[in-house]
Amino acid sequence: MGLFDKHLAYREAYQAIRQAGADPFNVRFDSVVSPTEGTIDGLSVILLGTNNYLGLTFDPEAIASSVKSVQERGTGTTGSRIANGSFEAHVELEESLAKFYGRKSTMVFTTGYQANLGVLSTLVGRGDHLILDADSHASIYDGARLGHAEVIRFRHNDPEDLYKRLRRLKDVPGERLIVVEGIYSMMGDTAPLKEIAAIKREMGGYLLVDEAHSMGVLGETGRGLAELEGVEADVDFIVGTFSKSLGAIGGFCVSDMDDFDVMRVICRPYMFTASLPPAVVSSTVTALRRLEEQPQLRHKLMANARRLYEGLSALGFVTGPAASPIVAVVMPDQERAIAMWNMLLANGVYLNLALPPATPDSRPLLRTSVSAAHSEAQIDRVLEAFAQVGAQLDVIEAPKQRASACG
Amino acid sequence: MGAALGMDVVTDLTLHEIGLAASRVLGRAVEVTDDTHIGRDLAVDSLALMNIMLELEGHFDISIPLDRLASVETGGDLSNLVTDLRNRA
Repeated sequence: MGLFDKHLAYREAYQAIRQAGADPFNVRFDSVVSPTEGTIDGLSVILLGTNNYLGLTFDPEAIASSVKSVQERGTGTTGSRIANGSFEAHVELEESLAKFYGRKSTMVFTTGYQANLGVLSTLVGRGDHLILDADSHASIYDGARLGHAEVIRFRHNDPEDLYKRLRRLKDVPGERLIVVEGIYSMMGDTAPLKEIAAIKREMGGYLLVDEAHSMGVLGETGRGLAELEGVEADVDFIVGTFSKSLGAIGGFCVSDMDDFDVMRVICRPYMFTASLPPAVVSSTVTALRRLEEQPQLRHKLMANARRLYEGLSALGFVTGPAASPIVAVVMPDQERAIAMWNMLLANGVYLNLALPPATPDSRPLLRTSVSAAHSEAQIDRVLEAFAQVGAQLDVIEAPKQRASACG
Repeated sequence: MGAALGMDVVTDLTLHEIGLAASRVLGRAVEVTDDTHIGRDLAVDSLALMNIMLELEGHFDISIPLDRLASVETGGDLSNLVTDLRNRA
């Protein structure tokens, strides 16, 4: 028996996928020239799978502050903040985020994954109860495994099931922490946060919302789903990331709870990782300011999302429950999902292939993420490619049949 | 004697419910016995196993903590776990 024998089934499945064409899990870009354009194997592609919601990766001000920072402060911090200390930009970023969310405290982590790992493993411990939405991101599940709380799941976006779980815990000692996401990363659906907040108020406990995909996307000022639903006062912790709407990398948690800062000396994923390099912190501070200055980016993003979602639905594709910057197309089977991903790439459209078990309900998905930087013409070109390839693979009816079915 | 018989009946009923839950999730009829190896014999991946748990949790009005699942390999293991959690409730 070799070390990798237990993973052979994955290797074989992966090889089968690669034999069908390009490798969807190891795409190599020759170049990325804007938030929405790149080249792969010499072919120009529209980037439709990058989570670059506001298109800020090429924001001139964010780039300028990043360049200035790397020149003045060097390429890296070479250690964690508890060992090597903080640069002024780390503190500035935490203060900016606290101000943006109107909360007392912020902790910045080196990745969004580590933010969940750190926060979930530290907030609750032995004898406490962590109650997760079943479709939670891998980082939430991994954070739950790293800690010592008892972990239970409730059915995805099902407040009634959450209520039952809390009712069963009645009279059981220990704290309760409920964890949901603003926008779920596979289907682009949002949590029923009003109902969940009401249940939390009735049954007690704390509520954490991961706004990784909804920060800068939802809410009057871009603070996410909690803002949109008007329940920010019920949300005790917000976790988020810099790697999506803010165009860099890193994670954070904000809260109004007293003693929050004690986590800096007990939270291992914070303590035992080098802190973010100055260039990343500076571009993030600037990107957050740009997000606040330009609400029109959010409006353009949602207009683009609706254009793509409505276009795909009209063509006959099965999509998520509502227009959101994540538009997932449910594919009938894995073979056609892989074939369609390859054919779309050949037609100049890059998006994400998501296969079970990473997807809800064991359904293969073509996952797109829209950006404010997409032009309407780009969205229309994507829709043309979907129409052509979808009909070729019998995922949707051919255009003529559609026309006659309508007429 | 009577108590032992009663326990057997409970176990059988629990196994029957596990079979029903697995059939619903997998979309095919399966039978689960004490010795059924859930991963191997039922060809259940981690996601389907989680969904079977959700079905069982709803049916028996229990919550199955994730760490308790680590030790579950067979139908018998799962049946014992469900029974244990029902008694705790």
